[in-house]
Amino acid sequence: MATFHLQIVDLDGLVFDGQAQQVSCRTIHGDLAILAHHINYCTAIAVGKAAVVLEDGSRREAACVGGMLTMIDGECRLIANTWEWTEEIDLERARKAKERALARLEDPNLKEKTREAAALKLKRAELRISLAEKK
Amino acid sequence: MAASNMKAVKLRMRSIESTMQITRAMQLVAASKLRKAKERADATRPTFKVLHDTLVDIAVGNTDFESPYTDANANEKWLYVVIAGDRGMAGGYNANIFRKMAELTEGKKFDVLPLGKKAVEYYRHREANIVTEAFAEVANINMGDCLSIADIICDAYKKGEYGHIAVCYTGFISMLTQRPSSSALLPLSDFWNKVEQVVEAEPVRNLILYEPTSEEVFDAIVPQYLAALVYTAKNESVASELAARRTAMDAATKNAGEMLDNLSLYYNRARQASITQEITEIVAGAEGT
Repeated sequence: MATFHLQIVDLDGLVFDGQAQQVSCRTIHGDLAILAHHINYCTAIAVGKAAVVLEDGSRREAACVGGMLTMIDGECRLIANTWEWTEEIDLERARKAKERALARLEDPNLKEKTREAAALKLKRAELRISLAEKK
Repeated sequence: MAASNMKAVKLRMRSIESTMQITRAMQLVAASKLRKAKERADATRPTFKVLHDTLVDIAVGNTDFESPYTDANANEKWLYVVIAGDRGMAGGYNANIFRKMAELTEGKKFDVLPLGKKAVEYYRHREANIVTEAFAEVANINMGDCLSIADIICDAYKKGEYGHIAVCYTGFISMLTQRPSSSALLPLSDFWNKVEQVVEAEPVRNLILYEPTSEEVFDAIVPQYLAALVYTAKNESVASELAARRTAMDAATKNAGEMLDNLSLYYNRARQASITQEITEIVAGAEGT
């Protein structure tokens, strides 16, 4: 299958730089997969599962939170806020984060902004747990 | 040589010794922290480059969208995010960044969003208009804080409170060189104008498909882009601060060592002189009898 050059970065540095057959992730508009020879494209990423099909056909999954995805002249760049390969996810930590977020959401006097932040935290934690438990 | 003078010299030596212990300890602490900070700054650099390249590509390819972030509004007021250190004892690190700021802001109306205790103190003292002091400890700022900063910036910009927003930080060039610099944050045209001069020779513009719409994509991306920019600038600044402190404290320790050498030479001479004098006095006394 045709491959394209894919670069994945998160704020802690370069995560992946190489050829790939396919990259998929959840955008603000819904799930999306990019193949080689895609039209020039730009979108923003939401919280969700992401996957890369490597040159040799093997598939790696990751938890991807926020950022942007662009495909310009055959070069795909995925800039995430955080990107964790499934095998790197700390399940214990994610479980604890979920508990904390749930506890916080129970408070009825929560400010709108803090509630939003806690709901986002919960979503991230649940994503990590679901990915890590599957492996 | 009087005995009291010798005592004073001894005291001076002791005081220099203890200062030297402090400067040496600070140098060692800075050196070990620096390694980590440098790694972090190095790690974020590729992210920043990719982000920058992407935005440049978009700017070059884009002909037809409007976003509140792309065009300058009429407001003349600037907002500067100033990143300085939490502590002094780092040579010219803090002074240099404030000098750069003074240069940049000359004749402009501006507010500041200081990061780092020294920046907060400096602008409080000068009674500049400070947006928030919530980010006073630059060493503890993480990505979440940078996202909050980006939110504050975006909100203020969308309300039209500022016409331009920029960040002023210290670029880490090498262990021995750090340079105060600044980078435009908003509007994006500030940042693109520089780019377009370079690429003007290329008239063909690529069309890019934005999904769902360019406006929505930009509304989602811009705060994250700003947060990443502030985060990178902060990482560079922290590494610069530690490098500056290491160099400054190294020099201070060397100077203290030199002073100590000179003083101990002086002290030993004085001691020898007083012994010689005593012997001369005894001999003179013995001859006299």
